[in-house]
Amino acid sequence: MNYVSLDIRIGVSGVRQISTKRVKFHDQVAGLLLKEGAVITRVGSQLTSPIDHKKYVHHSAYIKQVLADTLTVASDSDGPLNLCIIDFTSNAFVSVRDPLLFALADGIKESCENGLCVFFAVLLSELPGPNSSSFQQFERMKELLQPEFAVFFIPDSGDYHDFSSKRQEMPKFPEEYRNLIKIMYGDPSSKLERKCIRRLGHFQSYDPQNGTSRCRIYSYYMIDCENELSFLFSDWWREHGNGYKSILFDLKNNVSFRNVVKAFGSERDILTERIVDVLQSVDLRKAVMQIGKAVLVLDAFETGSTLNHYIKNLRAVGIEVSNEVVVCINKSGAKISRCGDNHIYGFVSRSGESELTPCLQCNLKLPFLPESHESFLRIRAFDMFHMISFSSWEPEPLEESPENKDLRYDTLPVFSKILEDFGDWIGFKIFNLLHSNPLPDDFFVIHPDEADSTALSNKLLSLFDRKLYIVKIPKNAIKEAQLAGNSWNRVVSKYQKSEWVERLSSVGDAGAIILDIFKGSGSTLISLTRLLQHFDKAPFCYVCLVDFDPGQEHLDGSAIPKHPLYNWYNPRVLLPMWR
Amino acid sequence: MIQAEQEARESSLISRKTFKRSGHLIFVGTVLSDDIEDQLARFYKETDSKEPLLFDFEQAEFIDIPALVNCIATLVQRKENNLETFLGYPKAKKARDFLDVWRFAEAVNRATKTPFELFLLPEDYHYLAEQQEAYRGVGDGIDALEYNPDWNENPNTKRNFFEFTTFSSGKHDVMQTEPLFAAPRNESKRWTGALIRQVLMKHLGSEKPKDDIARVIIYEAISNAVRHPKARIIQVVSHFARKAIRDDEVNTKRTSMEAEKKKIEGSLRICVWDDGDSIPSTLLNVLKAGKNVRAFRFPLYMYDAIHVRVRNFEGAKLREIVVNQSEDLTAASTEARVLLSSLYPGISRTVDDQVPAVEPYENAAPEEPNLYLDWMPGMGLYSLTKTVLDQYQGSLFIRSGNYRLLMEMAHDAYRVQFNVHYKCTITAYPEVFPGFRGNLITIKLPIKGIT
Repeated sequence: MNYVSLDIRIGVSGVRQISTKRVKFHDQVAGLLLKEGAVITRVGSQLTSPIDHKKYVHHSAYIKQVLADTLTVASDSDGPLNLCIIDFTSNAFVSVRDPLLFALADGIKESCENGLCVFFAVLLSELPGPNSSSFQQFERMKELLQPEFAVFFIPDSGDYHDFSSKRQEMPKFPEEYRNLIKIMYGDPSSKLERKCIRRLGHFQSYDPQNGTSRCRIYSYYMIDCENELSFLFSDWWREHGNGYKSILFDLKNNVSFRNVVKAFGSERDILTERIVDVLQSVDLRKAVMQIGKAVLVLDAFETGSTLNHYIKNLRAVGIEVSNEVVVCINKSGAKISRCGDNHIYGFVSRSGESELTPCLQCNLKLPFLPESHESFLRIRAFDMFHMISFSSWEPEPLEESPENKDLRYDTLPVFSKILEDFGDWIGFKIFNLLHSNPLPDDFFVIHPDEADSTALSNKLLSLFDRKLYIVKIPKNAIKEAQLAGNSWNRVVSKYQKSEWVERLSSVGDAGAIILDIFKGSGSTLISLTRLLQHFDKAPFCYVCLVDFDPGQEHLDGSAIPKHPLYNWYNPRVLLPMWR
Repeated sequence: MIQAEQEARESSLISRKTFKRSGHLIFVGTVLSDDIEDQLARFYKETDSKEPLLFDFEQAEFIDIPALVNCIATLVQRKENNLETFLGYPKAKKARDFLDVWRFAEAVNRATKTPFELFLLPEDYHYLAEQQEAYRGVGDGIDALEYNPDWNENPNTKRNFFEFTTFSSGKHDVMQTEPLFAAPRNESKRWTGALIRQVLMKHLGSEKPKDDIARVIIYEAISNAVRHPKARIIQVVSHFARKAIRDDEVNTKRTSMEAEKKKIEGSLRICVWDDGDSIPSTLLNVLKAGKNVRAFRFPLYMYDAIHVRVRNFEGAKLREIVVNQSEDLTAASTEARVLLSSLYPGISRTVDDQVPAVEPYENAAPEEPNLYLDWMPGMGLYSLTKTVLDQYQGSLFIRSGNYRLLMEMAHDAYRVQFNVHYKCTITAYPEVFPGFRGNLITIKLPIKGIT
């Protein structure tokens, strides 16, 4: 039996290969839906189905065209189609507009009437409302269509809605589909690990037991992790939380976890309040005491000083506290640990942060930074030199230096080591910097194909949930173009079959973000700008870790916004031929 | 310049006493949008509207969010016409705390591009320095959303989830406003967070899909505002209005499981205001240019019938008719009818606009590039209406041009008597009343949950 699938990408303009992982996911979904034991063959386009922002907003019926074309081409070459999978799961449910689903209903109806396919599975992270215009349009199909047809809306939970002319029972389907989704999108625990980054800065923590403060140069930060924390906290509660009716928390440095815990409590009628509020309010204290033992939830656990302080104070006012404590980050060396009689359950394990006594940053009168968020967009001088002191110095690597070796930097920070030790944070800084400006609806990253740039773009890839499109330009190609006065005609012709030309040709209207580790003279930036112009693409902005020539505002006559994380005046002087 | 202006005002002895009776609008108790408009109507009737105007909330106990948005729209309009307008703050601390936590002063500042102090009566300046006390974030999910005591100036989140958010075109300013084009996406994403999702499910009916408010209501209301001609600023604000449960009651409530299940009444109100051209004038301009506003036709059974009652500002009935969403509009159609038709499926000003050609899809048949060019504009407000009215049994209010429109489900007697699906009340404003500045959509969704 055969099937065709559409991998819908909303807000994206370029067509890309459907990943092998997604193809396997579609194969398995088709296996669940089609006849048991049948040989399943995937046919039709192997490319994604983008719906760019203009079509998304103004032209919701475009999806009808996409569907009809896909089905026509597939059935012309492979005969009647047994199933069509329309996969929206790459997109947040909130971005699947109702007019788009409404138009999809029309498209499916027409495809059934034209005999292209009569079995459709629409994969969405959740079901639209039963009274929404799209849902009603699908319901109406039963009244309108004469031939037998089947349309399933399948949310991530697997609890599908059947719009078919004849309803089918698939009792095992929900659980099996849930497992496929888990494999496709990863388990929450490993996702959370990737979202926990170590930041540099000047942080202060207070030891309530001794009444002293200490300074730290590191702090951990969780990025956009409500879904993961929600899953893990519910999971923990199922196993350990039975019988508890109150949660007391201190999550001032983790607003995502605060929202998750509050939502959890609100849903289950569990009293959920800040520890400090309970200690201050007589009425709240009475309420907690009446309910019974409370579970403590903290953003981090390290020495146990804060935990012991809270337990002591809560017990002193008559509140019983469970010896099972939940923390987001356990810094004791393991996710699960003990502190006296208390069991500490962490979702992420990280090493502890060394104290700084005396603190050089305090002596320099550098202000403290908040732990709950990044207050600086760029990198502070202190942090840059801290990273370099860890990584040491080296001459500019030969393979990455200009043709004229006289222009090579004698001394540079070992950027590869900096990225190894601090790459997550640097990637996060760039991620923040990009989001602090109006980003185009669709964008991709272009950078020289060097180890350091690749290491940095990999960090971004992870932060953008692996949805970032990256084009890496070989250093040789850049040098060849530079020797030809930054003319790319012959270079592009020479590399016509290479992956980078193919990828650059398929980005559609996406805006380009040029990424580099450092800017010495701007020659790479000029070359990549010219390359983009060769493909009729305008660069959207330029981002680098260090700009050694910060005064250079308008390179090559173009005014590309430049966003270096750190400015450090030390320009590389170039021969006129580069300009 | 601004400081000098401020000092001049402080020394100019402007106070409540200096305003004439006609320009001194006094609001008492709970202030609704209708109260603002009733008083404005009196002002416009009795004056040439050029004299200084004071919105005096001194005796107000609570000011509803549509009333605040109405106030802002009036401030913008009068400032554009170089007319002086002032605000008097409430004496009631709770009402002032509400304004503080909802960031009304910042919203005025951003909409008018004028420091709030230049609108506030000098005698009320001292209120701006005080700390709010009414909101502590203690209690249920709504309380936690209304105030996060650990907010700590975190730009990635809001101190109060429901507070005024301003989106504006032009130069992007990281800390002040968010860009206009990203408004639908950013704001709807915010409404998919764990806590707001849980609160919506609990209070608006748990059987509803988790994200339809974000996906349909927020997205479509804001994307509609973004597309209004000349829209340069959009403000979004919301409020869970429920039976007042004071902090001490919250605490007492926790001690009794019986009290914990107490049923509450109220609604979630979401206001989206933009400063663009009015909806009816935009559509009428297209019709008057001899162009079409209907993008496509559905089969007749897909259009709903609406019972429409048109009344004047004093409430007297002018017309009562039943219309069908399939009706055609012409250049002679009334502004009221055109406003209503903006909610019909497939009605949009963009029908005859230049739209980008459809890119041929990979492997598409090249000889038939325009086969599927029925591109379905004008479905956004239709989807919004369906979700608000049919799904959540809520109501939709639009203030635009010289009209306001209230759309609700037609229930029982109405449905039977008139054989209609919806009922609509359209209020025509008197001629002396200047057209509303921009467009205001207010969505009201009834609370069905328990607390």
